[in-house]
Amino acid sequence: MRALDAPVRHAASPPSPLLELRAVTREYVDGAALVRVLGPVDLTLEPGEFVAIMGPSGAGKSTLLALAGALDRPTRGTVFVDGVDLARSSQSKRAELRRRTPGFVFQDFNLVPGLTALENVRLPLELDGRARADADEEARRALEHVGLAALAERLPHRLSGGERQRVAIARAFVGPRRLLLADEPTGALDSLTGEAVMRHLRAACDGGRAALLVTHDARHAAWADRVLHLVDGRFDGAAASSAEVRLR
Amino acid sequence: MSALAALLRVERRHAALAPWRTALFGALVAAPAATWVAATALQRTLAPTSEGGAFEAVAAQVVGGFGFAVAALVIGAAAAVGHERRGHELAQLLACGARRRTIAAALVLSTAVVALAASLVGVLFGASAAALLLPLYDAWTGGDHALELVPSAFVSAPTLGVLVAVGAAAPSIHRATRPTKAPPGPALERRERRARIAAAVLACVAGFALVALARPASRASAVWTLGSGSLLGLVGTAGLAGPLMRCLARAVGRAPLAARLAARDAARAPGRSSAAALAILAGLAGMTLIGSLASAVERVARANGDAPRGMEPLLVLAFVGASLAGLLVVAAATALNAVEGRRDTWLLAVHGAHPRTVLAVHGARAAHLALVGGVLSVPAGLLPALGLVRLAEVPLTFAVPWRELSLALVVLPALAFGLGAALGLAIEGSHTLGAARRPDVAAPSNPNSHR
Repeated sequence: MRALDAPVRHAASPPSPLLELRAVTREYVDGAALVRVLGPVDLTLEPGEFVAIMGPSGAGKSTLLALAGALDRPTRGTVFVDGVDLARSSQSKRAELRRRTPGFVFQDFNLVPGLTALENVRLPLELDGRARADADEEARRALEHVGLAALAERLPHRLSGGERQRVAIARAFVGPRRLLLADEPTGALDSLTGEAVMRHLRAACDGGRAALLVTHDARHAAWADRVLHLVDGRFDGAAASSAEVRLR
Repeated sequence: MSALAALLRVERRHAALAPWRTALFGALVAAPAATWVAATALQRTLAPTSEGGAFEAVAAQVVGGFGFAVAALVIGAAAAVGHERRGHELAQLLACGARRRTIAAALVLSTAVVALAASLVGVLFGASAAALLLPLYDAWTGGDHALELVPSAFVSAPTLGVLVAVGAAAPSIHRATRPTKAPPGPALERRERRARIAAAVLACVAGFALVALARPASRASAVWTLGSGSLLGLVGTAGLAGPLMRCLARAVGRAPLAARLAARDAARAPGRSSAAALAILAGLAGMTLIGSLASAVERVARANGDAPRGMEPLLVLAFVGASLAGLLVVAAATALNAVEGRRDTWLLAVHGAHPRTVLAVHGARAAHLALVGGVLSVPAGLLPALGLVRLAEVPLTFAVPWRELSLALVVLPALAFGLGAALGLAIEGSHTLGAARRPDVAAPSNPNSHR
């Protein structure tokens, strides 16, 4: 992994959006009822952008993140992650995409409890078939960047909440991953540790990566370039661009 | 009294909300009760016409007692997991003003009631099984016997069933209702762990010494010596499940991801994995015991120049029953493990694991537990077999039952791998792998969450 604030190299051509949602709708069947939890929404995320999404519980924020992270497919509309159309990609292709483009950070850390900090960070590379030594080196560098090199061999239950979240951030950006999807990453942390996590995310975006942050906390949303409000499955306004509130 | 009644109502609701769990617990008590009643009835019926009547009597009692010991192990492990999972609910009851002793009393009483009901069902089932098996046996051997049930077994089986269930569940009930203590700290934890390993090894050695060295003078002393030796060996072997899993977890540093996760998960959640491994140990130990006896009988038949008749009919039935029980236990433990470990596989899918990798993790977990259970079942099953062979009036030679050992150590882990992968496929969904559902709904609860 590069340093979080180190610039990510792009091809000479203008960078394509890392994430693009066009008229995306997601519906679930609940018994006999069809429940629309999201959409239609449009959203574009360019490299280097940091976007925060706010909204009440049940507004569809987590569903939006799941779609952005290739964990789910839309009922209608199209989702492009790093140029790949999710609707046209197989399960294996989406798994490959998850290994290489988006990284997740969750509120409750979601580290694999049986793996050490180093092994957790190395996981996406290992799943991608990278050589052990190479993956180890890259994972160690990622841990160094979040200041946890000394705790590489510790299992998650021996780490504090803030340390676990930093491991999760290192894992989210290890290897070629350029898109970070964070679902309330500071929800289980104290305010100081939460601020430190936000600093890491900001530094990563300043280095050319992109982040989509779901949060309830306006102070954390203030770190983003754009803040979007999601209400009842739709952005508060016709489209993402018109709902944005520039804070920086 | 009213507090106890209220808590018993809570227990009744709890049992009604998870009927499969209550049924599983009941089956664990009913099975040895049924074995006890059937074994004593068949022994009394067949003993007068058998050459080795006294041997069969001892064998029936040892096999029946072994069943209760195995049930105690599995119930203890299952109760530990169940009460651990109910920790939050029990804390709520305490927060509402219930006394620890009243909660413990309600848990013990509900356990006893279910165990009594299950034992009575087991008694009826055992008597019916004996009545069904005897004509089959007579048809096979050309004999003519009238079934003689043993009335005392109708009382002793439910009594033993209740005592075993309550006794096995008592430690976890005590742990679940005792005041919260500060964690012991790594040094004390290490010391406690070493003491537990030493106690387990000591129990194994004492068990082997009793069975291998003792020269019982009478049938009664033979039952006691062999029974207590086998029990000590079984308890000691079961006590080694945790240390064995910890050793394996340390040894898999450079193994493939699936094997590493399987070994580490098993060591990390000893309550859950030990319950599954002990259940497998129990099923396979019975199979090894009966297989050993059958091998000894076969060897004598061959030495006497008899035509190879295969196993004796009753042994065939017992072996098939024990093997089926072993397979069922592996399936049940695998299913439990697959459901419990769903969150980790969901996480792997989130980070881009190929669906095949996720299924391999499910399979490796099942195979790991089957292997641990299988390895431990070898001494646990061979020990009582060794004792029974030594005590037989007809001179029997102990023979290592290679067929059963290969089944326990190779075939069953391989089957468990396939079973685990298939269950993983069923649980995760062939297309969605769980990750494609809404993450806030699909993601199982995080055991390591700070919240």
